[in-house]
Formats: sequence, structure tokens, C-alpha cells
Amino acid sequence: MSVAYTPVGWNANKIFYDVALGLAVAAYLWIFMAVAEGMAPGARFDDATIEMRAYGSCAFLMLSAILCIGPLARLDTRFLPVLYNRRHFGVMTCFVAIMHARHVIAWYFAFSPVDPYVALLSSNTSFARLAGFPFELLGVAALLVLTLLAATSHDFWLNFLTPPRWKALHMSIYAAYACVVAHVSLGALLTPQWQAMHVVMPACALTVVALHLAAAARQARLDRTATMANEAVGWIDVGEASGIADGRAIIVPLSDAESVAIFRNGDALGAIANACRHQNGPLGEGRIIDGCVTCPWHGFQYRLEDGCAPPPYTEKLATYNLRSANGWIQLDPRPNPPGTRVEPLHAPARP
Amino acid sequence: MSRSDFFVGYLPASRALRRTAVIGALTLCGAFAALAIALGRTPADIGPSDYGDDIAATGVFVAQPYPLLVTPPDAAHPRGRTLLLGGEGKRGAQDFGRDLEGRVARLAGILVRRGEIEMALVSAADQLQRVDTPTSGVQTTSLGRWRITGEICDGKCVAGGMRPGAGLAHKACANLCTSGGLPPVLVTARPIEGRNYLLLAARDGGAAPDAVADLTAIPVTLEGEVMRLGDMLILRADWATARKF
Ligand code: HEM
Ligand code: FES
Repeated sequence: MSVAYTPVGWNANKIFYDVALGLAVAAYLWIFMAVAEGMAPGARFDDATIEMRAYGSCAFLMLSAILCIGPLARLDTRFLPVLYNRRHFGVMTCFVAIMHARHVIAWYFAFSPVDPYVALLSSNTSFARLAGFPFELLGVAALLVLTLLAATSHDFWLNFLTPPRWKALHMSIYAAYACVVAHVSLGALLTPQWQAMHVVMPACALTVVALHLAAAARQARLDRTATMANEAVGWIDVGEASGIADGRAIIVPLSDAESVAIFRNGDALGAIANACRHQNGPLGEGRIIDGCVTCPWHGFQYRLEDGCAPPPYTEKLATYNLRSANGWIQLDPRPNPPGTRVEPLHAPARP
Repeated sequence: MSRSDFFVGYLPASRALRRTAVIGALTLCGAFAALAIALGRTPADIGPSDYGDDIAATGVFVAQPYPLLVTPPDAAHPRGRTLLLGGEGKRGAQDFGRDLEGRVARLAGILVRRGEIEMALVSAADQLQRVDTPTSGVQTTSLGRWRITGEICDGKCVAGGMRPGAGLAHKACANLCTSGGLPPVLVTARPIEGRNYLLLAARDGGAAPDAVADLTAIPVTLEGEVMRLGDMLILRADWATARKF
């Protein structure tokens, strides 16, 4: 939806999202520190250690939450609004993680004749052992990735790198998460005495994995349907015209992870590629608003008849041909070049 | 879901969506608050420490393996009181008392203490001054060969310089302290001759070797000769035979 690149601008919903997130983070840090400082004198950590633990655990929880949003939104569309502004969530996590690292460096690695950053990289070299491994370096690796992703989160970078490369780069969030899990497992969790983190960390990591498996299983079911469709040569039966509600779509999976969204706009049916040009959002889960197909993720819009974003925007989607046979709609799985105008198929909602 | 329930970020949200969003936001804040209470409750579990009392003492200065001050016996310390000396931050006290070996010195420093582990901090030359009192020096006696299990910590942090000052999360920090000249100590799993920690030394009685860095913060077994100096035990360890778990 843009001439050059499209920053998804500020709006009331984003402000609400950021304020809610900011409040949750502030509440977490404040309560954590109040509880930890209230411990008995002999059982109490230093103020500096309390702060580094508060920020570190907060960043871990935020990162876990971020990784749950994607699969949750695939499994249940009610989570889509959370996905909408996920990038701000990520940038905020990066700031919290930087505060954690700053406290560590200004306490554990300060007060020495050695430069703190040199000390961070050199004062533990027990690489050959698990218990005693320099777990800080795993934190450093995770923080570098988080910082890189936060710095390239703006739509400018999406446009500059092109969506596939941007997406590939941002998949490294999973490597960062693995580093953080190892960072905590080989550091704070190896303390023999019991602590809530012994339960919280595995629970978060397992939830992240389980949700991804569930979303993958759902995708595999869709792909099986796709294989069946693909075996049919030529036109594919996709269902009865009356099965598509006004302003809504059905999604027809094709081969190669490609899908088609068939939308109804009043009496007219049209078919366009399902993947949004912005970040591959599932257009078929969107709606027609003001006559345009609207992406459920960030609201990019396209005309149903030619797959083009309305001017002045320039995004174009592939369109597909439809025909009707005895009340059934049939789809030609061969895409038209992006932006090709296709005459809408006339099919009243209620015959 | 009606059209008005469909969320488009840049359009005003419907009432139903706004309600869901507020409930979602409250759930997030509530979950974070509950987790903060659970995670904030982790204890440091190493016992109370004191940091900052002034200490004044007069005794014999010993430079090896690490700077120490041994005061004459009194009612509370029938063998004499042996204080670990440390410098500012992560520095040992090696810069002070260079010409004091075996002589009497007057200390005016700051005490850090956890249980029987005591360190006096010195940050200026006038805090450790020579006194012209004649002395016959101090006696180091051997208690024979021992094999001892415990955790190697740096003597300043485990005395209360940082809390907890022990454990793996603290390993790199402890290495930085010992490489800065602070004395490594073995906090023992069981009391040895009534003491819960030993000062660590090289086999020849000098400072512990750099290899100590690989052994900090984990359970280890060290073998060597245990020496008594005042009320302190010193382990002159065979570093090559150290066992890690
Ligand atoms: C330069 C990067 C980092 C360094 C040097 C670092 C260092 C440390 C250190 C020394 C501890 C142990 C603190 C203690 O228990 O006394 C720690 C704990 C922890 N760190 Fe990091 N860290 C870094 C990055 C990160 C990042 C990016 C995350 C998460 C996104 C993270 C999450 C945690 C967590 C959850 C803990 C355990 C807190 C607890 O005790 O419950 N760290 N880190
Ligand atoms: S609007 Fe962002 S993916 Fe469609």
C-alpha cells in the first residue's frame, strides 16, 4: 500500500497496546524488586543483583510471550490484534534485555583494573564444562540478535531487504531464544537451592514449542488438502458459491505453500493470492472493508478485481480465474500475473 | 464475528474488541505481577553479612600467599586473629605493606564479614602503617596432608562484598576478583579443625596459580598440606590433582 515503503503509522490502537505492555513491564519490575528487597537480610541479594535478575527474567518472559503470539494467532484469530503490533513488543524486550546486561556489566564486571567489556569476554574460559560454562556469552549472543532485529524492525528495512530476506533475518529470533534458555539453564538455574525459575523457565520454553507444533499440525492438515487439490489437473472444484459469506473469503491451499483467497463482495466473487505483500499476512482471514480486501495483520488493502492496492499505493497480487459449473465454483490454479484484471464471477449469495 | 469485530489496526476498534483488549491487557498485567512475586522470592541463601564497620588492629603483616595481618592472642582469639586484607574494588592489597613483611603494622580499615570469614579493606597507604614494636614474627604450623571438598570463592565477595558471592552465576566475577589479587578461599562442605573455610595457596606457599579460575564456583576436591597461621587455615594445594565434579 505504498509508493516506496509503508511504515505502519501510529494510531490509537497501537498507543493502547504500547501503554498496556509498558504497564505490565513496569508492574513486573516494581513488584519483583519490592518482593526481593523485602527478603530477610541473610536471604537477600544485593540491590544490583536484584535489579539484574528483575530485568533478565522480565526479558525472558517477554521473549517467550512474543514467540507464542505467532502460533496463537494461527490457531485462534482472536489473537490477531496482539500480532498487529508485535514489533513494538520486540523492541521493548530488547530495551529490557539491555538494562539487564548493563546492570551485569556495571556490577559483576566493574570495579576492576580490567575493562568491563574485556572482563565480560575473558574472565571465564571454562568452555569445556557445562557447569561453569561462561553462560554470559550466550546472553551476549542473544542480545546481539535482539538488537539487530530491533534495529531492522522498521518497515523501511522490510522494504530495503525485501520480505523474504527480512523474514529469514527475523527467524534468528529462535536462535536467540535458544541462547537465552541455555544462558539461564547454565547460569541462574544451576544454583542447588530451589527457585521458581526452575519451573517457570521450562514451562515457558515448553509452551513455545507446543504452540509451534500445534500450529504446524494445523498447517500440515491444510497442506494435505492442497496435495489433493493439486492432483486434480486443470480446474479445481472449491465448493458452493453460497458457502462464502459476504465480505469474507474461503482459502484454497495450492501446492508450494501457495494459497488462494476467494472473496465475496455482494454478488461478485473474485480470487487473489492469499499472501499479503506486506509480511505474508493471510488475506483470506481478512475482510472486505470499503470495497477492498483488508489484511488481518496490518490492514493493507487490495482491490478484489485486479489484486492492486488502491492508488497511490503500488502493491500488486496475483489474481486467479473462477468459473461456475452447476452452482459450484471452480478455480484455475494457474495464477495470472500480479495486477491482472479478472471479470468478477456473478454468483448471488442466496440463489 | 460481525464486520465490526474485525480488527484493522488503523481503524477505531469496535466496543466488543475494546472490551476484549482491556481484558487481555489486564490478564497480561496480572500474569506478569504473579510471576514477579514468584520469581522475586528467590533467596540468596548464604547467611547475613556485615559490610562497612571500621576496624582498627595491630599485628604482624604477612605477604604470602596473600596479604594478611595476624594479631596477638586475646580472650576472643586464643591463637590470634588472622585477617584477610583486600584492596578497593576487585583489587588485592598487594600494593600496600611492601616493606612490612614480618613486621608489626597498624591497620585502620573497613571490615567485611560473613560468619568467620573476615576481610579488612585497605585503600590508602596510611591505612596500613609500620609500628616500631619488636616482634618474633608469627609461626606457621603444619597440620599434615588433607583431602578437602568445597567450593572455591573469592574471599572478598563471599565475606559480603557481593551477595551471594558464591554459586555459578558468580563465577566470572570471582575469577575477575582473584585475578585482581584478591585471595581465593575454599568454603568447605564440612568443618575442618573447627573452621569452615581455608585460604588457598600454591604448593610452595605462594599465591594460588591462575589455574584456580577453572575451579571456582563448582564443587571441587583439593589435596595438599594444611597450615595454621594464627586462627586461619591455609591449604597449600597440589593444583594438578584437583578434582571437579
Ligand atoms: C550481554 C548480555 C548478557 C549478560 C552479560 C548476561 C549476564 C547474566 C548474568 C551474570 C546472570 C546471573 C545473574 C545472577 O543470578 O546473579 C544472568 C541471569 C539471567 N539472564 Fe542474562 N545476560 C545477558 C543477556 C541476557 C538476555 C538477552 C536475556 C533474555 C532475553 C537474559 C536473561 C537472563 C535471565 C532470565 C537470568 C536469570 C535471572 C534469575 O536469576 O532469575 N540475559 N545474566
Ligand atoms: S498488512 Fe502486514 S502482512 Fe498484511
